Amino acid sequence: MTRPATGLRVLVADDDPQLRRLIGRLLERRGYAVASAADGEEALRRFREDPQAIGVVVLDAALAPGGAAEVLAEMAKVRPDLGVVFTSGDALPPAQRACLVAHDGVFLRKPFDPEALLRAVEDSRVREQV
Amino acid sequence: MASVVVVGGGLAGLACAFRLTRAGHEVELLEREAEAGGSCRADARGRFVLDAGSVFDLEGAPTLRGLARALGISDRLRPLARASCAVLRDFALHPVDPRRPLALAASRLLSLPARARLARLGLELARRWPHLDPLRPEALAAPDRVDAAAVLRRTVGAEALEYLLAPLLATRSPGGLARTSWAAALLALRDELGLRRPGSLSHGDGTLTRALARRVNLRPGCQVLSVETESGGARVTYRARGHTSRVLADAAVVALPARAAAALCPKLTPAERGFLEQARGARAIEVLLLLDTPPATLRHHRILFPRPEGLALAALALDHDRPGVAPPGAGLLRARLTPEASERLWAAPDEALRDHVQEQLGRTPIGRLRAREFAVRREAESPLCEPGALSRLARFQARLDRSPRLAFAGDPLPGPGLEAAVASGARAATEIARDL
Repeated sequence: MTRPATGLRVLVADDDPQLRRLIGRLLERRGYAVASAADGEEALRRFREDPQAIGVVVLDAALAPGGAAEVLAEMAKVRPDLGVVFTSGDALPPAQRACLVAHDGVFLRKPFDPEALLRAVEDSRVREQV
Repeated sequence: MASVVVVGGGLAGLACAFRLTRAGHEVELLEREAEAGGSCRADARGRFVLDAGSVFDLEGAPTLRGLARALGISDRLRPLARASCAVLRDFALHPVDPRRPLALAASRLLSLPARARLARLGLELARRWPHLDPLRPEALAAPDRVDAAAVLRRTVGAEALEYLLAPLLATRSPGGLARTSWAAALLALRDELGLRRPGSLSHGDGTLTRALARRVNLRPGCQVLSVETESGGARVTYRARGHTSRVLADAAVVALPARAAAALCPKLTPAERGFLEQARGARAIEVLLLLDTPPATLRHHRILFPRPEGLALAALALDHDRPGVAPPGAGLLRARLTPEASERLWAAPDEALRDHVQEQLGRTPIGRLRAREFAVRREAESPLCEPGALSRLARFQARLDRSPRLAFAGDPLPGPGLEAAVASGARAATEIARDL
């Protein structure tokens, strides 16, 4: 089971406002601090406000304008140790999947159950101190 | 959905399959044995755990820690009860802590001139330290060309080489320092000197391999016969329950010892065949002694036996210092034979090996032990890192002249223990995902 987190910030980026709110509430209930964004540009803006504060990013694979891999590539320049979760209703395109493997990220297929999301976020905090 | 076949369910293969699976790939892991784990597998004997006895730095090993975290078993990474080390010389045990050079200078293990010459090694290490990264061996091309014994004899002299450095690096240089490149020895020294918090997996290495096996699509009992890849994908032929089957996939990862890997793949490029067939291994034998109580004379975690002492033993480790591998109060000792003795006694019956180890210990201050039970671990090809091996590895990893849709993980890529295996699995996963 997922243990409650302490103060870890998760950045959630999805163009579906309802899903964004739902994911945010779910994570907050487990003790995560959440920042959210509606597209790739806003996600990068949010990230750049304080890159070191973000532990995990949950990105919709089809994030406008260029997709999640592009957003992640920008973030990883500053934070190569970022935990990553990609979400999508379909199978990921090859480039996105390669990017996810390179960052040791987790793929979550929509619709996902809340426990699967929490586990994915918890699992992807891979490079933190034990 | 892309599909990848991973051949070989050792730690590297498991780590590779897990990473790909997590990212949404459809993965099939084919393992010859009934259980995954390879050389990291742990066997239970009553309340004892018999495994490869891996010890690593809890503050290093970033890939391993990340993997443990992802598997939810971070709490199983635990410090050793003690990590002290002693070297036998003239029937006396001399405590040695490679992490404390000043204590080493005061130790009676070496003569005064030999201790003074150690300073030269200190300077050499300080100069090279920033470039000593086991995961980036390509930075060590120059010291890779020479053998470690020759360099050390020149730098610190025969006494410090034979009584301190060769014993200290014995388990990391399975063929001896004369068959180990100076670059590989530098990396091993860096690990010994930089060890901040030695630890292990509680209940043995099997804790990790079992957790991984539960999270991947593992097919045990599958003996792979051939792996053929081309630009369109991979074709893997295997035998299971008396039938030969074939699986088609988008790509394949072969996570086997180098020569076994080469033998499976008929269509390798010259660069791949050259690399895999030049990899060498040495035979290594370990005898595990299961005791009702550990002998009171043993106050160190590790005891090293220099070659001039004339024993068939290279090292003795008190495995019961690792959490969860022996019942409370009991002793579990791991005796490693020298490369020469491993070669000479390779075909000896297990009982004869036990008797030999007990007799050899009787010739030391530890005294003759009577084991309640015992086990023998034979490693047919403990990977060597001979002069030139790291440079060949760097060229191989640059992926020039490589088969499409095919990657390798595990033993062909030498390095320090669990972290190297896990990191090579991760690297293979990244390489293959990039190809798809």
